[in-house]
Amino acid sequence: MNCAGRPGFPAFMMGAAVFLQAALGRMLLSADTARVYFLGRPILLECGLRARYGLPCPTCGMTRSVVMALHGDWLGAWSMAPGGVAAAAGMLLFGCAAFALAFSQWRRSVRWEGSLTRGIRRWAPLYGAAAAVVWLGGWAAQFDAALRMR
Amino acid sequence: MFCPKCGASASGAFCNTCGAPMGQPVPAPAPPPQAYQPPPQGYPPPPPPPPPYAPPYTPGTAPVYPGGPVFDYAQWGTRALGYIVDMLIVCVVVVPIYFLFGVALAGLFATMSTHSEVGAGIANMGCCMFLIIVPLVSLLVGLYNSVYLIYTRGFSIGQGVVKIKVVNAQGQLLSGGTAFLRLLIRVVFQFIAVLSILDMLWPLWDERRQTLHDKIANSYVINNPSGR
Repeated sequence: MNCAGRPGFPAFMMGAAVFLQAALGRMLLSADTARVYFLGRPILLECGLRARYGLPCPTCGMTRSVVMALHGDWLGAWSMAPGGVAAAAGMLLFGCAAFALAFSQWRRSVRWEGSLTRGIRRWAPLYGAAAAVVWLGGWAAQFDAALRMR
Repeated sequence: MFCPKCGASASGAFCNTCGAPMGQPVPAPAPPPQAYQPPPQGYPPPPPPPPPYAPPYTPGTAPVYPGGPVFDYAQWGTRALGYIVDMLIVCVVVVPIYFLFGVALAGLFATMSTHSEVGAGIANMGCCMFLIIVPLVSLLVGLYNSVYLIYTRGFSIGQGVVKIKVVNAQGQLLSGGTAFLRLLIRVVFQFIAVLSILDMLWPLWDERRQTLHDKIANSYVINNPSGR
């Protein structure tokens, strides 16, 4: 039987993919304030801008921040790069929303599905905009701090 | 059942045509009482298998699914080929930016004294490449290729090469907003690798050959043999 056409199955699989990605990230990667480690081995990839001029690029610290957040160290992740916290939280929220949508479609609850769809359409762009502000604001603060230290 | 007054076919207590009462249906005669029979031994025969959710697809014919539009949906391989062509266009833009940005990074504030510094500048672009340049270029190229072109003629450059088209549930071209939403979802999915792979593979088992971003945007990719 083709279960791909069952109500809620695509949304369920979207949520499952998001949480599988988060679980894989948590299992395979770890991070401290200096580096990201893949299965315990450091990833020797360094930002050219920071290495040469001591200035962070907009994505500096994002990987470390997301990995720290996936390991539950949300405060450490925030201090590393606020944008990483926004990205990790957004990913997990998206997964939860997908599961909730799948459940409402599976139950064939038109009212729940309608409310959820409206909520996602309303809040997802707002969250994206807020996350972008947090990301760029955090980068600006780090850039300013790096300039002062030069 | 037929109306005793006007003869029209009707169901219910009254005739739908003239409104005359249909009368009480004659109850079926009760079966004669039977002697006790012991239950049969063993399990009862299994019920017949339920019909498949969707009928098997035969190439060249448009499948019919209950509750959904009927289109000649594009095959996964055709879609993939169109996607590769579209991604090649993104690569054509990304690669020069990558090298230009890397070289500029190496010599931004200092004189480029050795070739190794240039090489290091290019090599260290890895994280910026994956986190900024590729999604940004995908978005910018997509604004023309996947929003403007799909909004105005129904297919991107790659989709035009393989003669497929993106339509909405009514078979019409997507609105600009829907085409932009479709692009935005695809770009966001690029950050979640598992979801991106699942999104690309979903038409293989979907009855309407939709990707996940198609489902969110309520769009369909169909064959367009005329190429117009």
